[in-house]
Amino acid sequence: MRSIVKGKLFTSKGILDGSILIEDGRITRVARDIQEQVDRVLDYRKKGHIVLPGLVDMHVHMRDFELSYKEDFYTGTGAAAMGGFTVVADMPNTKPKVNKLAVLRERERVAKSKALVDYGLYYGVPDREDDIVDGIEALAIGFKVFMQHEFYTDKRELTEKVLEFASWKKMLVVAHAENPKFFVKTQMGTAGTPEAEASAIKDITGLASSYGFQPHVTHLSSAAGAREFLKWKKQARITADTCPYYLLLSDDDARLQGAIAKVHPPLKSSADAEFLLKKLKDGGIDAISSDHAPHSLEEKANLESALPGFPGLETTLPILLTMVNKGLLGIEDIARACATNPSKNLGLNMIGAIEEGKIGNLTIVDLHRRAKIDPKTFVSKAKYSPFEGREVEGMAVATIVRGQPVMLDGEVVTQGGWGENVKTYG
Amino acid sequence: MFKGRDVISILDFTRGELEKIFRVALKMERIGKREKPLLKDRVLAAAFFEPSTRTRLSFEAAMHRLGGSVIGFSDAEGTSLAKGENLADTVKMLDSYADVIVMRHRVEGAAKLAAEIAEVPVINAGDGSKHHPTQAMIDLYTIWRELGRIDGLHIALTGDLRYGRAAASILYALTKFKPKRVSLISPASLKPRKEMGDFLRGSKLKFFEGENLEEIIQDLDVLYVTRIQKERFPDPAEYEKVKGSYRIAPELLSRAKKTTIVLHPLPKIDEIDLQVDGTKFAKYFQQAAYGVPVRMALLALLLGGVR
Repeated sequence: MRSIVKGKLFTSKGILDGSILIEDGRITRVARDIQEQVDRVLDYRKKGHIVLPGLVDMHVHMRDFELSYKEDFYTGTGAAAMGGFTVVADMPNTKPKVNKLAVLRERERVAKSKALVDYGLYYGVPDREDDIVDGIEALAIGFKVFMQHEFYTDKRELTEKVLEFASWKKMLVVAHAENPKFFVKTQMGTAGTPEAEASAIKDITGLASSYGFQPHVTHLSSAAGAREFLKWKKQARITADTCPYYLLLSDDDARLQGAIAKVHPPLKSSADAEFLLKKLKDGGIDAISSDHAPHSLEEKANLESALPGFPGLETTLPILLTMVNKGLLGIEDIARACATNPSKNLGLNMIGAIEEGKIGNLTIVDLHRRAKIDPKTFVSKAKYSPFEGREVEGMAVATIVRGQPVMLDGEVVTQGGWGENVKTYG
Repeated sequence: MFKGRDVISILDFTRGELEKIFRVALKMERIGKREKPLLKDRVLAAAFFEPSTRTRLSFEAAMHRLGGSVIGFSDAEGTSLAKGENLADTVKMLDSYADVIVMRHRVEGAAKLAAEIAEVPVINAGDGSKHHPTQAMIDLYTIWRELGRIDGLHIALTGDLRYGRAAASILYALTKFKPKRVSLISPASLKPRKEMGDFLRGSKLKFFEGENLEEIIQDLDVLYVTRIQKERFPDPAEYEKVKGSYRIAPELLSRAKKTTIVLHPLPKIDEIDLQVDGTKFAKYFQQAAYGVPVRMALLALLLGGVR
């Protein structure tokens, strides 16, 4: 299969008018103009359109298995395609958990059969040492450590074995960094504080230095957490992401919206949000993830018992592009935080830039298309959002995975099963 | 000759044999996964009576990479041992299933006993407090690989030289070579045991015992750091004092040669400043990574996959 994509290309040399030739899933040429017989030409030489390297979300929950009522790989990756994401990295807190090699293999089988976009799979801390085995690295892109349950508890020893294994296999360790010692009781139940985040970040950095794994702190939510992270980043190899809602929403919104906006870690103050935005813009915080965490509406009914999280794949990019239109972010910040850096963090050198030899993953955005966030139209099974009703300007108009258009103009145009595990990128 | 041999103590090997293992390990570094099934259809039995994730996994990975398969257990609980089966019976059973047995046991001498019972080669993956021959091979390989030689180097060991298995096994291994000098730097209470001191005096190794790293840092080629454990000190204040004076910080290394390498059997706690991790001195993460090729080399040699 050979395709050509034309338009304003976001490259390392700046935004250029040009064409991209993709052959059998790989970018084989990037030039001012390419005139060749190909199977398909996608021409985006239109006002306000930009061709970005394919966006990558390092933190999503595709659920599936016994939690398919919340989401499954087909609807979850469909939401990704709608939102402009070409790769999503799936968290292991499923039912059953992805913390045994047999379950990981089943996860791969299910994902392969349903996914629309490419995916990475994380492995969780197992219950037995015997489940830390050679072979995990063939299918999993990294480990997820949920520190409050897996480090600040009697599971610590087993978790350290996972960290040792990750070091040795050179696999990424993504940490949900919160120390329960600093949790407080709130109307939403027990909730993390900025101190909880800062304390856990200090601990994960120390562990990384003990064992040698590469740590990534996911969903930074507070200024204190970000400061602690930035302090260590100066002397150690550590990366972090934050989520759009930590940049835009605050505890005021949480009070206003109740259970829908309940998330873990909880929303902090607007001063925290401001600081996170500043540090995202100056590159201190490496990446943005959606932490797409769908639940059924019933599970979001009551404030105290509501499960934390909400869907994010279909709101992340429109919200970020709206920030670009308002001058709060540059398009280069989005390319860096949503494509280049997450690819690097995941160790995927084959994606993250529009260059010859890279995989042909592209996200094409129309900077000026307007809409109102309407959860009823989500492809995700979770049809609610703390951003419901927001006017947005800018969204993805095409999602291209290995040369194949998966979403065009707001419609999924490929069969489930096109998506592949990023471990096949080589 | 390697084929069919047991690996119980590093002392059973000659210098020439260790160098042979290094040369094969260097080749193994370049073999990708399952590219060369040198040990196709061979079975490794991992008998871990005491858990040790890294050692077990790196043996497993080594065997897989050579195209073989692995059976065994990583904890005596859940096996018939817990029900009272004795060591000899377990070894006999593994002997009939496997082509090589890798064993870890709390009791000193357990591996030797197993080797007497089993017909297939037995590799000691750590027993008692002195012997962990494959760890010693990896430590020496790291020095050989990073600096090109072991002879003529000034090598310092610091930390707990009394109770640590890693320090003991590399010391035994170093007696096979001719380093310029081996400096043993530790607080008085953690100096090598008398037994080790006697052994070293009986060998040709030029060694020196001291308490101050600062005095020798500028002359060192290799700094091998081990952990000082709090439990070893009856007085916590004494521990805090000692801990600080043996901490490896960038300031200390700024006086070292440019080519000095720092090793550590990992995990480290805070005996090495985290700012050292990113410097060219730090080779401990690489040292951990050499575990697989060295074990591949040993397995391939013992099972006749290479000569």
